[in-house]
Amino acid sequence: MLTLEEQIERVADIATAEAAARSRAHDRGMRPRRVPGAHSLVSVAAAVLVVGLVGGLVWIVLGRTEPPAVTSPPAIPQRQSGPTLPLNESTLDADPDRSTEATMPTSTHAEGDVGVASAPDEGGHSLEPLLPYELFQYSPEDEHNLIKTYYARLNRCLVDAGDDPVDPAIDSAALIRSERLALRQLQTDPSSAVSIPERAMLGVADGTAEQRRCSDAAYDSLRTASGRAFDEDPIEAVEAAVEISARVANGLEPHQADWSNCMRDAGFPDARMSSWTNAAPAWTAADEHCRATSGYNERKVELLASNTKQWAIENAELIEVLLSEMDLVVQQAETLP
Amino acid sequence: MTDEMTFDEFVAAATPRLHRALIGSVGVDRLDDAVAEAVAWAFEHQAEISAMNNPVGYMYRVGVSKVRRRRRLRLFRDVPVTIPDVEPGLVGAMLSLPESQRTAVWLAHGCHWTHAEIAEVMDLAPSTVATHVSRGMHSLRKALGVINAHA
Repeated sequence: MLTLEEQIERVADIATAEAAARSRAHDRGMRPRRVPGAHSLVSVAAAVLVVGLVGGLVWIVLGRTEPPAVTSPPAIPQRQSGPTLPLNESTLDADPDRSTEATMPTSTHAEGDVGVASAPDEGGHSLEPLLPYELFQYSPEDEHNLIKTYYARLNRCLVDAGDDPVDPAIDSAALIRSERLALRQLQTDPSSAVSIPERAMLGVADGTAEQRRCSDAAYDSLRTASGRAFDEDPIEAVEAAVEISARVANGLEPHQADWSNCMRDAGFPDARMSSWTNAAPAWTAADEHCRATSGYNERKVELLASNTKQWAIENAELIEVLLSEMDLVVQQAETLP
Repeated sequence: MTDEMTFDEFVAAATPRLHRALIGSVGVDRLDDAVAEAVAWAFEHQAEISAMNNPVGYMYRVGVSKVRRRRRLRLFRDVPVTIPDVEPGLVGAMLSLPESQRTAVWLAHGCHWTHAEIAEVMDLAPSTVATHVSRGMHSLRKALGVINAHA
Protein backbone atom coordinates (compact mmCIF):
# COMPACT_ATOMS: atom_id res chain seq x y z
CA MET A 1 0.00 0.00 0.00
CA LEU A 2 1.35 3.39 -0.95
CA THR A 3 1.68 6.14 1.63
CA LEU A 4 -0.47 9.22 1.14
CA GLU A 5 2.59 11.12 -0.05
CA GLU A 6 3.33 8.41 -2.62
CA GLN A 7 -0.30 8.45 -3.75
CA ILE A 8 -0.11 12.20 -4.37
CA GLU A 9 3.04 11.64 -6.37
CA ARG A 10 1.23 8.96 -8.38
CA VAL A 11 -1.66 11.32 -9.09
CA ALA A 12 0.84 13.96 -10.24
CA ASP A 13 2.57 11.39 -12.46
CA ILE A 14 -0.63 10.44 -14.20
CA ALA A 15 -2.05 13.96 -14.49
CA THR A 16 1.24 15.15 -15.99
CA ALA A 17 1.36 12.23 -18.39
CA GLU A 18 -2.21 12.80 -19.49
CA ALA A 19 -1.60 16.49 -20.09
CA ALA A 20 1.61 15.85 -21.99
CA ALA A 21 -0.03 13.21 -24.15
CA ARG A 22 -2.90 15.55 -24.90
CA SER A 23 -0.45 18.27 -25.92
CA ARG A 24 1.35 15.87 -28.25
CA ALA A 25 -1.93 14.66 -29.72
CA HIS A 26 -3.11 18.21 -30.17
CA ASP A 27 0.12 19.03 -32.03
CA ARG A 28 -0.58 16.12 -34.38
CA GLY A 29 -4.25 16.97 -34.72
CA MET A 30 -5.21 13.73 -33.07
CA ARG A 31 -7.67 12.84 -30.38
CA PRO A 32 -5.77 11.96 -27.22
CA ARG A 33 -5.73 8.44 -25.98
CA ARG A 34 -5.73 7.27 -22.41
CA VAL A 35 -2.12 7.09 -21.34
CA PRO A 36 -0.27 4.83 -18.98
CA GLY A 37 0.92 6.24 -15.69
CA ALA A 38 4.37 7.15 -16.87
CA HIS A 39 6.11 10.51 -16.80
CA SER A 40 6.37 12.18 -20.22
CA LEU A 41 8.29 15.12 -21.61
CA VAL A 42 6.99 17.91 -23.79
CA SER A 43 9.00 18.04 -26.94
CA VAL A 44 11.38 20.82 -27.85
CA ALA A 45 9.44 21.36 -31.05
CA ALA A 46 6.21 21.96 -29.16
CA ALA A 47 7.90 24.42 -26.84
CA VAL A 48 9.43 26.35 -29.72
CA LEU A 49 6.05 26.44 -31.44
CA VAL A 50 4.49 27.77 -28.26
CA VAL A 51 7.12 30.51 -28.10
CA GLY A 52 6.32 31.54 -31.65
CA LEU A 53 2.59 31.58 -31.12
CA VAL A 54 2.59 33.65 -28.00
CA GLY A 55 5.62 35.81 -28.65
CA GLY A 56 3.37 38.64 -29.77
CA LEU A 57 1.55 38.50 -26.49
CA VAL A 58 4.70 39.64 -24.76
CA TRP A 59 4.20 43.12 -26.16
CA ILE A 60 0.75 43.14 -24.65
CA VAL A 61 2.03 41.88 -21.33
CA LEU A 62 4.90 44.32 -21.28
CA GLY A 63 2.57 47.06 -22.30
CA ARG A 64 0.72 46.56 -19.05
CA THR A 65 3.80 46.63 -16.87
CA GLU A 66 3.90 50.38 -16.59
CA PRO A 67 0.95 51.54 -14.54
CA PRO A 68 -0.96 54.51 -15.85
CA ALA A 69 -0.42 57.77 -14.09
CA VAL A 70 -2.81 58.49 -11.25
CA THR A 71 -4.20 61.95 -11.77
CA SER A 72 -6.96 61.91 -9.20
CA PRO A 73 -7.30 60.57 -5.67
CA PRO A 74 -7.64 56.78 -5.82
CA ALA A 75 -11.06 55.36 -5.10
CA ILE A 76 -9.86 52.94 -2.46
CA PRO A 77 -12.39 51.94 0.18
CA GLN A 78 -11.36 52.85 3.71
CA ARG A 79 -11.96 51.08 6.96
CA GLN A 80 -14.27 52.95 9.24
CA SER A 81 -12.62 52.01 12.49
CA GLY A 82 -9.69 50.25 14.03
CA PRO A 83 -6.27 51.39 15.09
CA THR A 84 -3.59 52.07 12.56
CA LEU A 85 -0.07 52.28 13.81
CA PRO A 86 2.76 53.86 11.87
CA LEU A 87 5.23 51.41 10.47
CA ASN A 88 8.49 52.87 9.37
CA GLU A 89 11.80 51.70 8.13
CA SER A 90 13.18 51.26 11.62
CA THR A 91 10.82 48.35 12.08
CA LEU A 92 11.97 46.78 8.85
CA ASP A 93 15.70 47.12 8.72
CA ALA A 94 16.87 44.88 11.51
CA ASP A 95 18.16 41.56 10.28
CA PRO A 96 15.63 39.00 11.48
CA ASP A 97 18.24 36.29 11.56
CA ARG A 98 20.26 38.27 14.06
CA SER A 99 17.39 39.83 15.93
CA THR A 100 16.05 38.34 19.13
CA GLU A 101 13.52 41.03 19.86
CA ALA A 102 10.37 41.66 17.93
CA THR A 103 9.21 45.21 17.31
CA MET A 104 5.48 44.73 17.10
CA PRO A 105 3.49 46.78 19.54
CA THR A 106 1.69 45.08 22.37
CA SER A 107 -2.03 45.54 22.66
CA THR A 108 -4.59 45.59 25.40
CA HIS A 109 -7.51 44.67 23.21
CA ALA A 110 -7.22 40.96 22.78
CA GLU A 111 -7.00 38.06 25.12
CA GLY A 112 -3.83 36.98 26.80
CA ASP A 113 -0.37 38.40 26.57
CA VAL A 114 2.09 36.78 24.27
CA GLY A 115 4.96 38.70 25.77
CA VAL A 116 6.20 40.29 22.58
CA ALA A 117 8.35 43.29 23.36
CA SER A 118 7.88 46.60 21.65
CA ALA A 119 10.72 48.75 20.44
CA PRO A 120 10.97 52.52 20.34
CA ASP A 121 10.30 54.31 17.11
CA GLU A 122 13.65 55.42 15.84
CA GLY A 123 12.30 57.43 12.94
CA GLY A 124 13.76 57.20 9.46
CA HIS A 125 12.39 57.24 5.98
CA SER A 126 8.75 56.26 6.10
CA LEU A 127 7.46 53.47 3.91
CA GLU A 128 3.87 53.98 4.97
CA PRO A 129 2.51 54.85 1.52
CA LEU A 130 3.95 51.61 0.24
CA LEU A 131 2.68 49.16 2.75
CA PRO A 132 -0.60 47.33 2.54
CA TYR A 133 -0.98 47.98 6.24
CA GLU A 134 -1.42 51.62 5.41
CA LEU A 135 -3.20 51.14 2.15
CA PHE A 136 -5.88 48.98 3.72
CA GLN A 137 -6.04 50.83 7.01
CA TYR A 138 -5.02 47.63 8.70
CA SER A 139 -2.47 47.86 11.43
CA PRO A 140 0.17 45.58 12.88
CA GLU A 141 -1.82 45.84 16.07
CA ASP A 142 -4.82 44.30 14.33
CA GLU A 143 -2.68 41.40 13.32
CA HIS A 144 -1.13 41.13 16.73
CA ASN A 145 -4.57 41.05 18.34
CA LEU A 146 -5.65 38.26 16.08
CA ILE A 147 -2.56 36.24 16.84
CA LYS A 148 -3.13 36.68 20.56
CA THR A 149 -6.75 35.73 20.19
CA TYR A 150 -5.74 32.67 18.24
CA TYR A 151 -3.42 31.57 21.03
CA ALA A 152 -5.93 32.39 23.73
CA ARG A 153 -8.49 30.14 22.06
CA LEU A 154 -5.95 27.47 21.33
CA ASN A 155 -4.74 27.34 24.91
CA ARG A 156 -8.24 27.45 26.36
CA CYS A 157 -9.06 24.43 24.24
CA LEU A 158 -5.90 22.64 25.30
CA VAL A 159 -6.44 23.31 28.99
CA ASP A 160 -10.07 22.18 28.74
CA ALA A 161 -8.80 18.96 27.19
CA GLY A 162 -6.34 18.46 30.02
CA ASP A 163 -3.32 19.28 27.88
CA ASP A 164 -0.57 21.79 28.53
CA PRO A 165 -0.87 25.19 26.86
CA VAL A 166 1.66 26.08 24.20
CA ASP A 167 4.01 29.00 24.56
CA PRO A 168 2.70 31.73 22.31
CA ALA A 169 5.68 34.04 22.70
CA ILE A 170 7.96 31.78 20.70
CA ASP A 171 5.62 31.33 17.79
CA SER A 172 4.49 34.93 17.67
CA ALA A 173 8.06 36.11 17.58
CA ALA A 174 8.81 33.67 14.79
CA LEU A 175 5.90 34.93 12.77
CA ILE A 176 6.85 38.52 13.30
CA ARG A 177 10.45 37.80 12.35
CA SER A 178 9.26 36.20 9.14
CA GLU A 179 6.98 39.15 8.49
CA ARG A 180 9.83 41.53 9.06
CA LEU A 181 12.02 39.50 6.77
CA ALA A 182 9.39 39.76 4.08
CA LEU A 183 9.06 43.46 4.65
CA ARG A 184 12.80 43.96 4.72
CA GLN A 185 12.95 42.26 1.35
CA LEU A 186 10.00 44.44 0.38
CA GLN A 187 7.99 41.42 -0.57
CA THR A 188 4.76 42.94 0.56
CA ASP A 189 1.60 41.57 -0.84
CA PRO A 190 -1.80 43.26 -0.87
CA SER A 191 -3.73 40.03 -0.78
CA SER A 192 -1.95 38.81 2.33
CA ALA A 193 -2.72 42.08 4.03
CA VAL A 194 -6.40 41.34 3.89
CA SER A 195 -6.19 37.68 4.87
CA ILE A 196 -5.37 38.15 8.52
CA PRO A 197 -6.15 34.73 9.92
CA GLU A 198 -4.11 33.08 7.21
CA ARG A 199 -1.12 34.99 8.53
CA ALA A 200 -1.98 33.99 12.06
CA MET A 201 -2.00 30.32 11.22
CA LEU A 202 0.91 29.33 13.32
CA GLY A 203 3.03 26.76 14.74
CA VAL A 204 1.52 23.58 16.08
CA ALA A 205 1.51 21.65 12.83
CA ASP A 206 4.00 19.18 14.25
CA GLY A 207 2.34 19.04 17.65
CA THR A 208 0.17 16.44 19.29
CA ALA A 209 -3.18 15.41 17.87
CA GLU A 210 -4.88 17.45 20.58
CA GLN A 211 -2.81 20.50 19.72
CA ARG A 212 -3.69 20.17 16.05
CA ARG A 213 -7.37 19.76 16.82
CA CYS A 214 -7.40 22.81 19.07
CA SER A 215 -5.35 24.78 16.57
CA ASP A 216 -7.82 23.94 13.83
CA ALA A 217 -10.71 25.03 16.01
CA ALA A 218 -9.04 28.30 17.02
CA TYR A 219 -7.95 29.01 13.48
CA ASP A 220 -11.31 28.19 11.97
CA SER A 221 -13.16 30.39 14.43
CA LEU A 222 -11.09 33.35 13.31
CA ARG A 223 -11.01 32.44 9.68
CA THR A 224 -14.74 32.07 9.23
CA ALA A 225 -15.58 35.67 8.47
CA SER A 226 -12.77 36.73 6.20
CA GLY A 227 -12.51 33.28 4.72
CA ARG A 228 -15.90 33.71 3.14
CA ALA A 229 -14.68 36.43 0.86
CA PHE A 230 -11.77 34.34 -0.35
CA ASP A 231 -13.84 31.20 -0.61
CA GLU A 232 -16.24 33.06 -2.88
CA ASP A 233 -13.54 33.95 -5.34
CA PRO A 234 -9.97 33.81 -4.14
CA ILE A 235 -8.49 34.25 -7.57
CA GLU A 236 -8.29 38.03 -7.80
CA ALA A 237 -6.64 38.43 -4.44
CA VAL A 238 -4.12 35.68 -5.04
CA GLU A 239 -3.34 36.81 -8.54
CA ALA A 240 -2.85 40.38 -7.44
CA ALA A 241 0.28 39.58 -5.51
CA VAL A 242 1.83 37.65 -8.34
CA GLU A 243 0.81 40.23 -10.90
CA ILE A 244 2.33 43.03 -8.87
CA SER A 245 5.47 41.00 -8.29
CA ALA A 246 5.84 40.40 -12.01
CA ARG A 247 5.35 44.07 -12.82
CA VAL A 248 7.86 45.08 -10.19
CA ALA A 249 10.37 42.47 -11.34
CA ASN A 250 10.26 43.86 -14.86
CA GLY A 251 10.99 47.34 -13.61
CA LEU A 252 13.86 46.17 -11.44
CA GLU A 253 15.83 44.37 -14.08
CA PRO A 254 18.32 47.22 -14.71
CA HIS A 255 19.09 47.52 -11.01
CA GLN A 256 19.72 43.81 -10.64
CA ALA A 257 22.80 44.15 -12.85
CA ASP A 258 24.12 46.92 -10.59
CA TRP A 259 23.38 44.76 -7.58
CA SER A 260 25.30 41.84 -9.13
CA ASN A 261 28.31 44.06 -9.77
CA CYS A 262 28.21 45.32 -6.20
CA MET A 263 28.02 41.78 -4.85
CA ARG A 264 30.92 40.73 -7.04
CA ASP A 265 33.00 43.57 -5.61
CA ALA A 266 32.00 42.40 -2.13
CA GLY A 267 33.40 38.96 -2.83
CA PHE A 268 30.30 37.14 -4.05
CA PRO A 269 30.82 36.87 -7.81
CA ASP A 270 28.00 34.39 -8.44
CA ALA A 271 25.44 35.90 -6.09
CA ARG A 272 21.79 35.72 -7.01
CA MET A 273 19.05 37.57 -5.24
CA SER A 274 17.04 34.45 -4.63
CA SER A 275 19.86 33.09 -2.50
CA TRP A 276 18.78 35.14 0.49
CA THR A 277 16.66 32.32 1.89
CA ASN A 278 19.73 30.27 2.76
CA ALA A 279 22.31 32.99 3.02
CA ALA A 280 25.11 33.31 5.55
CA PRO A 281 25.34 36.52 7.64
CA ALA A 282 28.21 37.91 5.52
CA TRP A 283 26.18 37.40 2.35
CA THR A 284 23.14 39.01 3.97
CA ALA A 285 25.15 42.06 5.02
CA ALA A 286 26.56 42.48 1.52
CA ASP A 287 23.10 41.98 0.08
CA GLU A 288 21.65 44.73 2.25
CA HIS A 289 24.47 47.09 1.35
CA CYS A 290 24.20 46.38 -2.38
CA ARG A 291 20.41 46.66 -2.47
CA ALA A 292 20.70 50.09 -0.91
CA THR A 293 23.65 51.45 -2.90
CA SER A 294 22.53 50.14 -6.28
CA GLY A 295 19.24 51.99 -6.09
CA TYR A 296 17.42 48.67 -6.07
CA ASN A 297 15.51 49.32 -2.85
CA GLU A 298 14.52 52.83 -3.80
CA ARG A 299 13.21 51.71 -7.18
CA LYS A 300 11.40 48.76 -5.64
CA VAL A 301 9.64 51.02 -3.18
CA GLU A 302 8.51 53.22 -6.04
CA LEU A 303 7.32 50.29 -8.12
CA LEU A 304 5.56 48.54 -5.26
CA ALA A 305 3.81 51.71 -4.22
CA SER A 306 2.62 52.59 -7.71
CA ASN A 307 1.63 49.05 -8.66
CA THR A 308 -0.08 48.29 -5.36
CA LYS A 309 -2.04 51.50 -5.55
CA GLN A 310 -2.95 50.76 -9.14
CA TRP A 311 -4.10 47.26 -8.17
CA ALA A 312 -6.21 48.75 -5.40
CA ILE A 313 -7.84 51.17 -7.81
CA GLU A 314 -8.57 48.41 -10.28
CA ASN A 315 -10.01 46.19 -7.56
CA ALA A 316 -11.94 48.66 -5.43
CA GLU A 317 -15.04 46.49 -5.24
CA LEU A 318 -13.10 43.45 -4.15
CA ILE A 319 -11.31 45.45 -1.49
CA GLU A 320 -14.58 46.76 -0.17
CA VAL A 321 -15.86 43.23 0.31
CA LEU A 322 -12.65 42.09 1.93
CA LEU A 323 -12.50 45.07 4.26
CA SER A 324 -16.00 44.49 5.52
CA GLU A 325 -15.17 40.86 6.20
CA MET A 326 -11.90 41.85 7.82
CA ASP A 327 -13.65 44.25 10.12
CA LEU A 328 -15.84 41.43 11.33
CA VAL A 329 -12.79 39.36 12.18
CA VAL A 330 -11.04 42.18 13.99
CA GLN A 331 -14.20 43.06 15.84
CA GLN A 332 -14.61 39.44 16.83
CA ALA A 333 -11.05 39.37 18.17
CA GLU A 334 -11.30 42.65 20.05
CA THR A 335 -14.59 41.96 21.80
CA LEU A 336 -13.69 38.65 23.35
CA PRO A 337 -14.31 38.53 27.11
CA MET B 1 19.88 28.12 -18.01
CA THR B 2 23.66 28.35 -18.35
CA ASP B 3 25.79 30.18 -20.87
CA GLU B 4 26.40 26.90 -22.68
CA MET B 5 22.72 25.99 -22.89
CA THR B 6 20.52 27.32 -25.68
CA PHE B 7 17.08 28.59 -24.93
CA ASP B 8 15.51 25.60 -26.63
CA GLU B 9 17.56 23.26 -24.50
CA PHE B 10 16.57 25.19 -21.41
CA VAL B 11 12.89 24.96 -22.33
CA ALA B 12 13.19 21.25 -23.03
CA ALA B 13 14.74 20.72 -19.63
CA ALA B 14 12.47 23.05 -17.68
CA THR B 15 9.08 22.38 -19.23
CA PRO B 16 8.35 18.98 -17.71
CA ARG B 17 8.93 20.32 -14.20
CA LEU B 18 6.92 23.43 -15.02
CA HIS B 19 4.07 21.38 -16.49
CA ARG B 20 3.87 19.18 -13.45
CA ALA B 21 3.88 22.08 -11.00
CA LEU B 22 1.31 24.12 -12.89
CA ILE B 23 -1.28 21.35 -13.18
CA GLY B 24 -1.86 21.49 -9.44
CA SER B 25 -2.40 25.26 -9.50
CA VAL B 26 -4.17 26.10 -12.75
CA GLY B 27 -5.62 22.72 -13.69
CA VAL B 28 -5.45 20.88 -16.95
CA ASP B 29 -7.82 23.28 -18.73
CA ARG B 30 -5.49 26.24 -18.40
CA LEU B 31 -2.23 24.34 -18.38
CA ASP B 32 -1.21 25.00 -21.97
CA ASP B 33 -1.97 28.70 -21.68
CA ALA B 34 0.00 28.97 -18.46
CA VAL B 35 3.01 27.13 -19.88
CA ALA B 36 2.88 29.22 -23.04
CA GLU B 37 2.80 32.46 -21.08
CA ALA B 38 5.67 31.33 -18.88
CA VAL B 39 7.81 30.23 -21.82
CA ALA B 40 7.05 33.43 -23.70
CA TRP B 41 8.08 35.46 -20.67
CA ALA B 42 11.26 33.43 -20.34
CA PHE B 43 12.03 33.94 -24.03
CA GLU B 44 11.85 37.69 -23.57
CA HIS B 45 13.88 37.59 -20.36
CA GLN B 46 16.60 35.12 -21.20
CA ALA B 47 19.35 37.15 -19.55
CA GLU B 48 17.43 37.36 -16.30
CA ILE B 49 16.42 33.71 -16.44
CA SER B 50 20.03 32.66 -16.85
CA ALA B 51 20.90 34.48 -13.63
CA MET B 52 18.19 32.88 -11.53
CA ASN B 53 18.73 30.06 -9.09
CA ASN B 54 15.25 28.75 -9.63
CA PRO B 55 14.05 29.83 -13.07
CA VAL B 56 11.28 27.24 -13.11
CA GLY B 57 9.94 28.70 -9.91
CA TYR B 58 9.73 32.12 -11.44
CA MET B 59 8.19 30.76 -14.63
CA TYR B 60 5.64 29.00 -12.45
CA ARG B 61 4.70 32.32 -10.90
CA VAL B 62 4.38 33.94 -14.29
CA GLY B 63 2.23 31.08 -15.57
CA VAL B 64 -0.07 31.17 -12.57
CA SER B 65 -0.44 34.94 -12.74
CA LYS B 66 -1.18 35.12 -16.44
CA VAL B 67 -4.06 32.72 -16.75
CA ARG B 68 -7.52 32.99 -15.31
CA ARG B 69 -8.22 29.89 -13.32
CA ARG B 70 -11.62 28.32 -13.22
CA ARG B 71 -13.63 27.93 -10.10
CA ARG B 72 -13.73 24.20 -10.70
CA LEU B 73 -10.18 23.12 -11.20
CA ARG B 74 -9.57 19.81 -12.95
CA LEU B 75 -6.46 17.69 -12.80
CA PHE B 76 -7.62 15.39 -15.60
CA ARG B 77 -9.61 15.84 -18.77
CA ASP B 78 -10.48 12.16 -18.79
CA VAL B 79 -10.72 11.23 -15.16
CA PRO B 80 -9.36 7.74 -14.65
CA VAL B 81 -11.96 5.43 -13.12
CA THR B 82 -9.31 4.20 -10.75
CA ILE B 83 -5.66 4.89 -10.28
CA PRO B 84 -3.84 1.81 -9.05
CA ASP B 85 -2.87 1.98 -5.38
CA VAL B 86 -4.49 5.38 -4.97
CA GLU B 87 -7.48 6.05 -2.70
CA PRO B 88 -10.52 6.70 -4.93
CA GLY B 89 -11.38 9.90 -3.10
CA LEU B 90 -7.90 11.41 -3.12
CA VAL B 91 -8.25 13.56 -6.24
CA GLY B 92 -11.54 15.02 -5.05
CA ALA B 93 -10.17 15.62 -1.58
CA MET B 94 -7.15 17.41 -2.98
CA LEU B 95 -9.32 19.66 -5.11
CA SER B 96 -11.42 20.57 -2.10
CA LEU B 97 -8.44 21.82 -0.11
CA PRO B 98 -7.99 25.57 0.28
CA GLU B 99 -5.88 27.01 -2.51
CA SER B 100 -2.79 27.61 -0.41
CA GLN B 101 -2.84 24.13 1.11
CA ARG B 102 -3.48 22.41 -2.21
CA THR B 103 -0.65 24.28 -3.89
CA ALA B 104 1.76 23.57 -1.06
CA VAL B 105 0.85 19.87 -0.89
CA TRP B 106 1.00 19.46 -4.65
CA LEU B 107 4.39 21.11 -5.01
CA ALA B 108 5.83 19.36 -1.95
CA HIS B 109 4.61 15.81 -2.49
CA GLY B 110 3.52 15.78 -6.12
CA CYS B 111 6.54 17.65 -7.44
CA HIS B 112 9.13 17.18 -4.67
CA TRP B 113 9.90 20.87 -4.40
CA THR B 114 11.64 21.95 -1.21
CA HIS B 115 9.82 24.15 1.25
CA ALA B 116 12.25 26.94 0.39
CA GLU B 117 11.37 26.64 -3.30
CA ILE B 118 7.65 26.61 -2.53
CA ALA B 119 8.04 29.56 -0.20
CA GLU B 120 9.70 31.52 -2.97
CA VAL B 121 6.88 31.02 -5.48
CA MET B 122 4.11 31.46 -2.92
CA ASP B 123 5.67 34.52 -1.28
CA LEU B 124 5.54 32.87 2.10
CA ALA B 125 8.00 31.99 4.82
CA PRO B 126 9.21 28.37 4.63
CA SER B 127 7.71 27.75 8.06
CA THR B 128 4.32 28.85 6.74
CA VAL B 129 4.69 26.48 3.81
CA ALA B 130 5.41 23.68 6.25
CA THR B 131 2.22 24.56 8.09
CA HIS B 132 0.20 24.58 4.88
CA VAL B 133 1.59 21.19 3.88
CA SER B 134 0.96 19.73 7.30
CA ARG B 135 -2.58 21.06 7.48
CA GLY B 136 -3.31 19.95 3.95
CA MET B 137 -2.09 16.43 4.63
CA HIS B 138 -4.07 16.34 7.85
CA SER B 139 -7.22 17.40 5.98
CA LEU B 140 -6.62 14.78 3.30
CA ARG B 141 -6.20 12.04 5.87
CA LYS B 142 -9.36 13.18 7.57
CA ALA B 143 -11.29 13.30 4.30
CA LEU B 144 -10.10 9.84 3.32
CA GLY B 145 -10.99 8.40 6.69
CA VAL B 146 -7.41 7.49 7.50
CA ILE B 147 -7.89 9.26 10.82
CA ASN B 148 -11.02 10.32 12.59
CA ALA B 149 -12.16 13.91 12.66
CA HIS B 150 -10.52 14.65 16.00
CA ALA B 151 -7.27 12.82 15.47
